[in-house]
Formats: sequence, structure tokens, C-alpha cells
Amino acid sequence: MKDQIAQIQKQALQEIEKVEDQKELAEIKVKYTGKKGELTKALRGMGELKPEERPAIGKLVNELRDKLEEEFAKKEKELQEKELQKRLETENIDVTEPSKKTTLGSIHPITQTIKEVEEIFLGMGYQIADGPEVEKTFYNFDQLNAPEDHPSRDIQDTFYITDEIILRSQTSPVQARVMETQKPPIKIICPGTVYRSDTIDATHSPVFHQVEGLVIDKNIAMTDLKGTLEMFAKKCLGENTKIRFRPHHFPFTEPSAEADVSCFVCGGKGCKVCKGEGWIELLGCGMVHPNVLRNCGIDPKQYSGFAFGFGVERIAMAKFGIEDMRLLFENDIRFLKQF
Amino acid sequence: MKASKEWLEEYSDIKVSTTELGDILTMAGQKVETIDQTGNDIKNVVVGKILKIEKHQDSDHLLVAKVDVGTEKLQIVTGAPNIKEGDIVPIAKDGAELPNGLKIKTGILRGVSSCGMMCSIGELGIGLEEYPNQIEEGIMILQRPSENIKVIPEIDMEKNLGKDIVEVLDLKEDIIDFEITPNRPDCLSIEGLGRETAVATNQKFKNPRKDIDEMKIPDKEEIEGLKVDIKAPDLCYRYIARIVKDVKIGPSPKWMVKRLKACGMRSINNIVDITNYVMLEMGQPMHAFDIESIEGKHITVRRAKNGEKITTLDEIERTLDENDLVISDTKKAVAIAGVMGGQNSEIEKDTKTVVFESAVFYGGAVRKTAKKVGLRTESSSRFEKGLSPENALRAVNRAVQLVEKLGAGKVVEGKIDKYPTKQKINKIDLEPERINNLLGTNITKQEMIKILEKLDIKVENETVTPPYFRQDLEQMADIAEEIARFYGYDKLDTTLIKADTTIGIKTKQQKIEDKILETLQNSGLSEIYTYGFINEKELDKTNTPKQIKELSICLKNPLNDDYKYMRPTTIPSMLSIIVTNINKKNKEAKLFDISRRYQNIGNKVEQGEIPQEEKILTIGMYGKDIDFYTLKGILENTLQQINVNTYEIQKEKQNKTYHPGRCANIKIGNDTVATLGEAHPEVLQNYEITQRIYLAELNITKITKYAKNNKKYVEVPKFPAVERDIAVVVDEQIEVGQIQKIITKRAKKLLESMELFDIYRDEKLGQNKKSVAYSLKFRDKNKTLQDEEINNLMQQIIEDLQKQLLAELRK
Repeated sequence: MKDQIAQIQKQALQEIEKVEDQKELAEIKVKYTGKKGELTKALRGMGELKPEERPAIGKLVNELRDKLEEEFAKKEKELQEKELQKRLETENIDVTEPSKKTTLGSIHPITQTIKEVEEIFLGMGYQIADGPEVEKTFYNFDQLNAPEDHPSRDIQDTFYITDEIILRSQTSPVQARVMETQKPPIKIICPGTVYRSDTIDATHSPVFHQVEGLVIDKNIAMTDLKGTLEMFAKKCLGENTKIRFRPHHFPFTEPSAEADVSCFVCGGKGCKVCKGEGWIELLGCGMVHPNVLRNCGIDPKQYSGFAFGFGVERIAMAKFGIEDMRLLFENDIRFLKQF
Repeated sequence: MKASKEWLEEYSDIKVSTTELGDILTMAGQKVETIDQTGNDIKNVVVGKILKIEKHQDSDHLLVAKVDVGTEKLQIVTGAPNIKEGDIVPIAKDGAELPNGLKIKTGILRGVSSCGMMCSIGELGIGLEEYPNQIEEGIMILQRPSENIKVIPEIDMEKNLGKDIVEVLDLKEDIIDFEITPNRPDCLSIEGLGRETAVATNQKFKNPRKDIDEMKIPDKEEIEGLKVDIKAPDLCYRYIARIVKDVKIGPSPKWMVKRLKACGMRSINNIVDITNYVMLEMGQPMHAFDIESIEGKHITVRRAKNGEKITTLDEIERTLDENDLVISDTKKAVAIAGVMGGQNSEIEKDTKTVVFESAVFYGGAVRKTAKKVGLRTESSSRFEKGLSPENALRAVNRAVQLVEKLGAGKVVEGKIDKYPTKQKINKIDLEPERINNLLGTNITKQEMIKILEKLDIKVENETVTPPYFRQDLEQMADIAEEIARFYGYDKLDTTLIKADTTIGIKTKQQKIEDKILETLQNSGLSEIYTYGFINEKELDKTNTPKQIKELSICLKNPLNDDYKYMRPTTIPSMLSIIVTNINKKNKEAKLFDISRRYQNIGNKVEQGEIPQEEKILTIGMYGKDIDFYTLKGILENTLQQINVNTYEIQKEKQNKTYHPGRCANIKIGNDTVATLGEAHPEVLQNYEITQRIYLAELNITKITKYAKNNKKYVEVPKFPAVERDIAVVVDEQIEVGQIQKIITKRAKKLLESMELFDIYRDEKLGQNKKSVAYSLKFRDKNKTLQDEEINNLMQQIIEDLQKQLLAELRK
């Protein structure tokens, strides 16, 4: 009997050794340790033994069963690994083949620029205000301290619809409308389309975009304006950007200033973009004119404020390196797709 | 406004370079546009005399000249044919530099050494118009004794051999061009700029016109028979006349011509030049006319009659009306006040007695008249900004002083001075604390007063009185700006607002627009920007119905005929961009535009009200694999993203812009919020497009109302779903939407989803038939559905379809 068991062990181990795949292994498993397998047969054969021999043999059989189970498990793991290896080898792909992607569209550089500006000012607690493009002269001029005979009405070439209705030449009428309807504190920016009768060329368009800002509260000072614009310039054009104020004149602000920023292309050393000056004229700004506050029903003795405004196209063009403004309105898909 | 540094130096010492001066004035508020420096770029060019000319032994066209340059004699090889022995010419010596960048060095030309170069007028950077007798292609001849030529009659060049040409010809001139803001008409004068220069550079203002300021001229009602009346004191604040007799019309002296030229004005004759010179010097436009041309010797300043005509100095006839002011005699207008004189009173060569007019008119009226007659002159552009009547007297006195100085005539004693509307002098409280609060500074009161006094602004007992020439200073903020300008804008700190916190948050519509942008970009569409302008033809080409066309808003002064109207629909703008892309051979384009349309509903504009503006999302697409359903999918996704979930898609056959068989409206209740479809073949033909174009318009202004801000969580189902497929055969003209409606209506809440997975057409189904197959998913959120329940429901659905659509169940 012992020999018989030894024989089973030898044979089984040999067969396990030779096995190539998991299916074969499963068959061998059944053959030896299954319900009708060799070991079961061997156990049944114990009936022919003397009772005192049985425990020893039984132990032997069980030991063999344990050993075989262990061998099977080992072999199975080995085979699994082998098969995985084989699969991984056959499933090798060329990662440089073209991808399957959903094509993305694009957001126009003007919108991208406006959104960036909006983000910065939203973060500083500003609301975004909007108003009509076909506007009354009352809001575009009169309320902004440019009454009918004012020479500043000559500065901008305005598109007229009637004597009283025009295409807004600036986004400032939105400011006047907000001041009329809202009580201070007011903190808004107004991005929008404006119209001036300029002939189309590489740097002019009769339709362009502006962002204006307005803050009205108690104790607003010109240094706050400078600080706010410096903060904006750093966030929008780069942390090293410096800002410079020059005196200027606008009918709706007093004192007024033009703000230059250090050239964000050359950093102020002088280049083609800044025409060698190191500074780029960025925007017009100033302290809201007391007449404007009065016109809109705000007491200039109690409140003060600042306003600023700049053209979006110029910033977009400088940021994206676009040299001809006409490209922005031509809308060639090959241009658009780049943004 | 152009000013030469030399002229500015009359008002204060200038101890900085012209470039530095430009920077200083720019930072003080008088922005320098350009600086033109002539003469500075000429170095080591001297006056030389040609002693001898010989032919070059080795060349047909070269000459070898011996020249005397005072200190030495040089040999120069030249190719210029226009020189003669004895000529005095400009010589660029070894090491010389010329305006064109040329540097002259001693060299050898075909074996002969040449120690310099003779210069042409162009090489010295001088314009031919200054010395019309010179020639462009040849050496400048300063003096030629043989023909008695002298470039400057009063200078004998023989005595100046070896001297610097820049000095001899007085070539050095620095001209600064300023951008003058409209609030500062006083700076449209050298005097005004001179004052700013003195303050900005911290130098004493010299006031060379002190004699004029102190002059006392007696008033007369009548001089030499001339009388003046002002009939419109609201438009003419002051009118002063002074008279000069025994006038000798002739050329002006060189210094005056040079200064006029520096400021961009041409010399005409001594009398006209004096009026221009005084205007440049003091900012007061002047007019001079022949007393003989004044009929009745009576000047009246009056409103023009409607339709009154006058031919101005530029020989163009102008028609006026009662809003225009004229200077007239007893019969006719002789000048358009503040704009231009009339031809009928022009100074002629034989003029003997001249009237100098110095007047101040209401700026607003001058501006309007100038604009109307299309004549914006040096004069009108000054008047329209509002001039000081006080300055007018100074100007006329200065003019006659110059007449005497130039010996151009004899000044008649006295002035006719009509001054019905006195200049108002503002009084402003000096409020240092408010000024510091506004500026964010800590400037002391003493410092403020110091700045103001330098600007001739008086401060007495806490009251600020601006001088007559600063009518722009009206209130505290104006005074604050003056202080800030000379305290230095660059010295202002950068601070952040100290105030209550405000919340920066977008409005509902702004958020919806952001969502739409994002969705469309992710769907592969590119954003475009279009102009809101349109022309009538485009509206016709897109088959825009008459009632929409009528809502277009017409511009009074469009840039061109293509930009005549504001668009009542965005479709033509999109189509023109599609055409651009097709013409550029772009095979596919998927575009969108979020922009406005403008509709003059109820003739609001004519009533002085603003028209309706709506924000529209416009989509335009063409290319392979794009069809109606692609577009529909994009719109449905967009609506889902902005939380609009209840809407109906209905066929639209009436909209002539779209293909009648391939167009739909998206409706919420009765409200049409969007239209989508294929462009009408007629429209495509109008645009000469040969491929299918898909268009959509979504009214963002409208949809904002229906969009919900928040999504609500719906419990993830606990009970299993039951899925059933159904295929029915229906007539071709039945829309699948009808089938869906019937199924939805019957299944009610149990129907979780319905997916159309096949539409099949085959002869076997019968003529004009199609088979439509759906996969239906049922679920009860409260219990597990039983087969029997669903079987019954399916049976009812089939019966409904059979009854209402004559559908047959496909087996």
C-alpha cells in the first residue's frame, strides 16, 4: 500500500511538472484529488488493510493530498503568471498611432481676454454690468459731463441714428445707468462692444470692445485707483509689470490720467511692441468728475470714486501676438482653431 | 500744437535737453507726440570755397577740386557737374556726419585722395522749398560771385569760410509736437506752453509780454470812420478792433517766417503773418481785413440769415443759417465768425488801411458752424474750446505792436472795444483736506499754495482765484488735478481700497452664457465675432421677412453702404462668415456667435427711446458628417447644460430662411426660444453656396427666464427596471415624435427612458412605410415591476399606436 501511495505521488508530481496550461492542470487535479481520483481510490482500498495499519496509511494519504494541493496551487499560480505574460505580449500596441478624440472647438481671443479680466475683478469684489449698445446721447455724453456743445463730443466719431440715439462710443453710459439706479458702494466693470467711425485697418475697427471699471464709495482716493490698476496689470500681464500715471483729460474724470504699463514683451528694455519706449499706453482713468456724480444723484461731498477704461483688442493682440486687428473679425477657422 | 524750443526759451530758461523737456512736460500733462530735431545730426560740415577744379586723370566724370575751408586747404574728388571755381559750398570734412547717417572719411578715389565731400541740399536735410533756387541733384551753392548768387542775401559767405554750416544757415531747430487736451485752449499757444514749461522745469516764468499786460489803450466809438455793433451778445462775448494806416504789404522777416514754419504755418505776407503769429503766440485767433471792403464802414456781429451765402478765403461758397454767426458790413457778411474770413474782405497787395479784429465767440456755436460747413480751421478749433475775452485785448495790442516793430504801417490811436458779456472769474474754496483725501496724499497746504501760485492761480483767505486764461478751473477737483500734476503723478502711492467688502458674482444670464460657451467649445464649435452692421441686400439674400426687415435701425452716418443698418437678425452675419470660410477652401467649419440683434419694435428710436436688444446664440456649420441631427444634438446638449429640460421640438415650415422640410422650432409652452435647420436652397443660391449649411438661433435673453439655477438630486433607483423593445410600421409622413408622445402619454411615470434604435425602410414593409424600433425602459420607484403589469401596458401602447397612427406591430 505504501508503495502504491509513493507511486501515485511520483506519477502525480511528474504530471504536474509537465503541465502546460490551466485546463490540463484542472484535469490532473480531478484525476488525483477529485471525488473519483486516485487518492480517493487509495483511501477506499484501505478497507483491505488491517485496522492497525489504517491510521498510518490514512495519514500518509492525507499528507500526500496536502502536498498535491500545494503543488497544484503553486503550479496554477505559475501558469497564471505565464498566461498573463503571454497576453501582455500579444496585446502590445503602438502608442504613436493617431488618437481617437472628440475634436474641441475654440473660444475667440476677445472673449478669452474679457473672461480673464472679469476673473480678476470678480476676485476683487466687482460685479459685471451690462447695458444697451444702441444708446441715448444723454447717457453716452450728457450724464458724463459732455453736454451738447462740449468739445469732447468731437473727440470720438460717433455713429448717429437720430440726434438723440447713437451707437455707444464707449461703455461709460453703463456706468451712468448703474450710478442712477444703484446706491454706493458701487464696484463694477462693464465689458462690451463699442462703436466709432474709424476706417478698418490693421489697428482700427469701427466695432471694438472695451472694459470699463467704476468704484464709488466713501473715501475713495486716486492712490486706490493706481493700486487697483497695478494689481490688475500684475495679474493680467505678469507679476513684474509696473504702472505709470500721466496727467490727461477726460470730461467724466477729474483729475484724469493715462496709465502706461511697463512693456510686457520686453520688460521695459524697449522693443518693437513698445516702440522702444519701454512703456505701453494701456488705459485712461481718473477720479469720477463731481459733475458726473451730481448728474447721477450722488453727493460728491459724501462720496468719491474712480473710473477706468481700456480697449480689449489691443490687449488681446499683444497677449496672443496678433499683428493685424482684421484677423479678429475675419473668423477664418484656421485662425480661430489656434485659441 | 507744435512749438520750437527756441520760441519756448523766450518764456523761461531751459536747462534740460529737448528729449528730457519732452519727458518732463509729458509727465506734467502736456503730452509730447513727437520731437523733431533738425541740425543736431549734422557734424563737422563747414563753409568752403572752391579754389580750383581739375579733371580726374583716370575718370571721365570725376572732378578734383581744391577748397579753402579757412584753416586749411583740402583736395576733394566729386562727381557733381554744377560747381564752378569761386563757388562757396558746404564741405563735409573728414569725420563729418550727415542727417542721412552718412559718415565722411578721407579716402582714395581712383588713385586720387579725397579729404571730404561737398554736400547737396538734400544731404544736409534741408527741404528745397526753403531755398527754391537750389537744385536737388547737385552741390548746394552758398555763394557764386560770378553770377551774384547769395543763398542768404545779408550774409557774405566769404567771411565765414571754415564756419559750421549749422550756425551759418541757422539750421538748428528742435520742434516739439504736443497733444493738447480740449480743456486747455490756453496751451494752444506758445505762451501757455511756455508757462507750463517754466513750472514743470522749476524755472522763473519771464513774461516777455509784460509791456502788453500793462498797456492802457483809450476806448473810442469810432476810429477812421469805423463803427462796431454786436447784435448777438450770447454768441459774441467781446469784439475789439484796432486800425493800422499806411500799410506796406510785404514779406515778413526771417525770424517770423521761421517761427511760423516751426509751428506748421506758411508765410503769406507781413499783415496776415502777424495775425497768425499772434494766434500761435497767445492762442487768440485774429482776423485782419481791408477797411475799404467794409461797406458803410460799419461792422455788425449778427446771426446769419437763413440761406445767406458767403465765399470764404478758400474760394468756396458756403450757405449759412440763423444758428451761424457772421461779421458783416451794412450789406453783406464779410466773415464767418471764428471760422474763416470772406474773400470779399481779403488783404490785397494794395491794401492801405487794415482793421485788426480780436473777438471771442461762444465755442459751442463755432464748433457747430465749423462742423456744418465742413471747415475746421486753426481758428475754429481754438474758439470751440472756449477762449478768454480778457486775452483778446492783449492779442490785438500785440498785433499792432508787431506792425510797428516790422514797420508795416502806422498804428492809429485808440480801440473800439465792445464787451457785452464779461468773462466770469471763478472763486473756489481751498480745501487741503478734501484734496488730500481725493488724491490719497499728504501734501501740506503751503506746498499746495506754492504750486498754485506758480501757475498764476491766486490764493487769498482760503479762496482760490484762477487767472483769466484758466477758465477750465471750476471746482475743487480741478484744483486737485493742478496740484497733483506738479506734485507728480508718479509720486502717488499705490493703495488698495479700504471699504466694506463687496461680492463679485456673475448674474444668472452671465452664468448661462459661460455654460453655453463651454458646452459649444466641448462640442467642437469655434466662437466668432461679427459686426452688428448689415446692408439691405443681405437681409434679402437670407429671405428675411418684411416685418423683420422693417425693424432694422438705419445709421445717419454709416462708414459705408454695407454698414448702413443695425441687424434685426444675426443670420446674415453668420452666413457671410460661412462664405469666407468656404472661399478659403476650409472643408469644414462649425461656428457660433453670441451677439446681439437690434429691433426697432414700435418705432421706439423715433420717439427718442432705445430699441430692443436681444442676445442671440447663432450657430452655423457645414462639412462632412454634419446634418440636422448633429445640430439638434448640440442644441439639446446646450439646453441640458443650462437646465432647460421641458421643451418641445416642432416642425417649422414658414420660416423662409430655412429649408421647409428641415427646420424646427424649440418651444417652451407657446414661446419659441430657438429655431434650427438647414438653410433654404434659395438662400444658399443667393450666396452662391453649393453645399448644405446648418443654422440655428437660440434667444439667450429669452431662455434665461426658463433656465433653472440648480439641479435637484433624484434618488438612485432601488428597484430593478424592465426593458422591452417595440417595433412598429407606420406611414412615412408620421413623425417619430408622434409615436413618442403616444408612448409617453400612456406609460406615464413608469417610463424611465425611451431610445430609438432603428428606422428601417424596405419594399417589403409596403409603399411609403417605415419601421421604427424603440427600446423602452420601465421602472417603478416604489416596487419591483411584475411582467404581467408591463405586458398589459405594452398591449395598451400597441393599441394606442394602432388606433391613432394606424401603426402595425412589426414581428
